Amino acid sequence: MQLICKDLTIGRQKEHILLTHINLVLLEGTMTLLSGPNGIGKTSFLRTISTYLRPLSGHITLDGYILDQNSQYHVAYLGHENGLKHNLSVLEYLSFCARLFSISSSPQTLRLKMLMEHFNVTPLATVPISYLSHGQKRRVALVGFLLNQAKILLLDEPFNGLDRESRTLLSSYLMEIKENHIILYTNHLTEVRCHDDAIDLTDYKPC
Amino acid sequence: MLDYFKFELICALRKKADLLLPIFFFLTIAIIVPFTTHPDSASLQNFAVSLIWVSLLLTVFLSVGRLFTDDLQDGFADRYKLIPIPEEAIFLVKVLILILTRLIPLTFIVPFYGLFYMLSMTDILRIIIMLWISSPALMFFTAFGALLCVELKQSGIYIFILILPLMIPALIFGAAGCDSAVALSKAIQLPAAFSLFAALLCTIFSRPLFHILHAGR
Repeated sequence: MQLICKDLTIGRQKEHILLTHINLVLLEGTMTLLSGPNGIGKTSFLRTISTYLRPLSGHITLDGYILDQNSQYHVAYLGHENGLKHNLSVLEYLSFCARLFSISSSPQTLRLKMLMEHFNVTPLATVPISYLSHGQKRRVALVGFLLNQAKILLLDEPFNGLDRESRTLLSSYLMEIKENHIILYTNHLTEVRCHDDAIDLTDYKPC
Repeated sequence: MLDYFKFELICALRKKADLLLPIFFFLTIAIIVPFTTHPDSASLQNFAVSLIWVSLLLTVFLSVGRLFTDDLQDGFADRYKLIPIPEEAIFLVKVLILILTRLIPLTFIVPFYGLFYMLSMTDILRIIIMLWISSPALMFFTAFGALLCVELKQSGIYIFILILPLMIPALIFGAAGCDSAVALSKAIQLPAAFSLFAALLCTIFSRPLFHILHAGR
């Protein structure tokens, strides 16, 4: 599996171009860090690959097929917001995620259990999400997000709000699953280093 | 799709304030208006049907405006693509949940209108039937407007201005159907057809609006 960005230009409008001439090849089994200063366009780049934003020019292909807004299930994007429903308990929310994001007919109960154990969320199972701390919410959001079956994972500042232990848990899990995925993430915490490759987006800033 | 329906239904039922506010609003209008008019039964009966439809219209605007805003703000809108159903189905499920949790409870308030406006039991039943048949069109159009204006500040005003003209036929058909001089089987035909038209039109054209929702962030 390979994801190719060909001559990609990203921005809100033609007059406000963030990044231009992006030519990249991302291969299965790699974890890539996107770096660059605030406002360079890291989130816009991730949202473009996730097909939420249309590129101003160029295109993105996955195994030769163009990724567009109708390409579902290939790409999963985790943004800054957690996507949690505060009036549900942790287990209710995660059980729904397991059923909602499951492409096969059987819900992913085992995977849910394993992820809850890995991210130390099991003790919080019965707690309403509104009672959780910021870091706990992020952990629940990560478990819910990682239940998806997409092969391309785009994570925008996934380590934000996590304590040292949780950051280690997340990086170890991503290392574990990267063999079958293309993982692209942004991160400004210098102590977290789990990437195989890094892309500095300042190289693609328009002159 | 059934799992998503259950998910949305549970989320909607847990929002107690959102469930109760339209009911109180609808009930308050029923209680307050008779104090401001001549209290004879003939004049009250004359405008009861109009009042019910106008109250319903305002209640729908009140309760549907934030339909997609919550998902956008808490980030769940980014998960839509992970759910293996088309975005049209997401729209349809959301409106069906609204009809179940917001519209159906309102119809149980209609007997209170009957009490305050001296309507007969036959009139009340007929109004309830017409509400069930005609008001889904209001829900679909308002939900469509809410999706269209989700990125705008003060979206409620824009939804109101944009969608109001589309609501007029539903109001006309619904209110006209409450006239007991017309046979019920005949009276429900036009509103039912219009509700079906609204459901099809809004659901089919919801997909490009989801793209706007994602792109606007």
